[in-house]
Amino acid sequence: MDVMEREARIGEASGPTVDLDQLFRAEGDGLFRALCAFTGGRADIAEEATAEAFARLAAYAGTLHDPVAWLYRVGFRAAIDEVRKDARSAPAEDDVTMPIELHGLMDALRELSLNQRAAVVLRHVHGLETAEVADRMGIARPTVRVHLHRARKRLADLLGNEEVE
Amino acid sequence: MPKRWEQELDRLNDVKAPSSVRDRVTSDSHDHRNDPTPNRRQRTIAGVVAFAVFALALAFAAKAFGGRTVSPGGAVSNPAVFTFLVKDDAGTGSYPDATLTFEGAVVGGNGARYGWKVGNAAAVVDTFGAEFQLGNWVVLPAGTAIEVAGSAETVTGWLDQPVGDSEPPSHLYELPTSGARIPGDAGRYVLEFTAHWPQGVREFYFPIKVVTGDVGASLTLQATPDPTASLAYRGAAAPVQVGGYCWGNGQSPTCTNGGAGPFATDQYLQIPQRTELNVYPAFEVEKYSLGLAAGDDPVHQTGPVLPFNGRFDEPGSFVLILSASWSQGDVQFFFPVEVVATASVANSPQPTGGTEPRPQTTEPVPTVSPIPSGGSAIAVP
Repeated sequence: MDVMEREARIGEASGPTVDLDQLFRAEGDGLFRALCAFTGGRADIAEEATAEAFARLAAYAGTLHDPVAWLYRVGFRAAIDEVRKDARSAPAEDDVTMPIELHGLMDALRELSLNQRAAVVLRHVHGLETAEVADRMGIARPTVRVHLHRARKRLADLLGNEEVE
Repeated sequence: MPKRWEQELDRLNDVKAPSSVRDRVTSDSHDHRNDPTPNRRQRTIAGVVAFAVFALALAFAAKAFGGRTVSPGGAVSNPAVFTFLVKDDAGTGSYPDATLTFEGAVVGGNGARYGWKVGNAAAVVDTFGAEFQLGNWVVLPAGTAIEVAGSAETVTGWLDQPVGDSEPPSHLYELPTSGARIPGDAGRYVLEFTAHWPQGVREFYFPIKVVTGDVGASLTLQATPDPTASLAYRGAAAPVQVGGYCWGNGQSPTCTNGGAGPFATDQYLQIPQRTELNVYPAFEVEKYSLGLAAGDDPVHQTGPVLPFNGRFDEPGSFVLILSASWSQGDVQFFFPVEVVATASVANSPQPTGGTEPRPQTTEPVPTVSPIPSGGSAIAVP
């Protein structure tokens, strides 16, 4: 099957249509936020991965059963690729462009694995249920629970577990 | 009241996507909308292609199988074989190991810490694989027969059910002494085995997911002694090619060219459309990703590598690309796959050029009799 044929098949599929503008208004900030946490504060990578995910969504519009979950999975994957490329080319520290008040949080998030970061942000910042977190990360629910369990414990150790006002 | 760490996380809610991302996305969106002609052309091509593919598939099935068809969700009669062996490692000596083999996939068990004697020396070995790999549930059909094999003198087993994130599972019941089977009800379980050898005793855990429908295809990957991966569907395995890679402990890695090239047309593993892919990475695998490329040449790909969401949805011929990372190195594996439209799936012959998944051992595997009423099994010489 050549590329044109494959794209034709994609165009033929009958999923719900996607209004990209509307979807970006609803999900753009959330995806960017999740990717910032996922990359440990690499706003530049989060920006690229967010744009990449929406660009790919535009190409597949109308063929996806759950565009939001797909968007996150593609975004996470694009961010991983960038992080890996970056690790190989020894990134400069000043590439981290998050606001100063978030530096402590980002330092703590960098102590977690990539999946732990994604799981804890989707669960505790986005307020998603475990099943939704699993869909967006493309992994099994029990695995999400394990990532969450470890991430909470580590963040409590690093940032404090006392109750606050 | 929230905890301190929760309050810190809340700060992320102030983060917004920069306007530059918004502009890029909006621009992409408008570009896409303003050019409807290609979509109409694509739909026409798709219609013609879909009909041609369907007709060809029908003709192929009728010619090859005389009209016989087999439901993709048909009954599975192969047993799940749990093999308990003593393996030898050049660096650390002998150690007890266990695997589950089903329909061409070989998956390692989670082994707990154990005591082990070699000659007059005895040691307690701590392992870091004892925790459950909860993302690594082996999918088995309900009611599958359980067979025990290997060199252990006795093997006893329990069926457990996980109760929490990281807690030990609760015992449901001891496995029957003969004719043991996987539970008939769908769900997640843990099979817990205790294997006895003259050198010592070790417990192994196998997390399994019991399904009542088709179990799907399986992809296994492991790192010892060399990086290997296998793709199987209903006992048939796809041939695998490996891309160039370097492998080592960081001091003196060994590099190989891989030698990947185009696959022959008779090498494609046929998988029905909408089949799920179950991935079983070994414990040491740090991460992996999957992609699908159209065509037959894994090295000189003519089309884009598409993200693979875990299910073979699109009919056609593809190369499934597995990129895996271990601490020893990164490796790419290539598998030829033909996704067959469900309506035309027949009792298809599988690739003649395929290789069986690499066995984890070359030692002879003696058969072990069913567990007698005393709760132990005796090895048959």
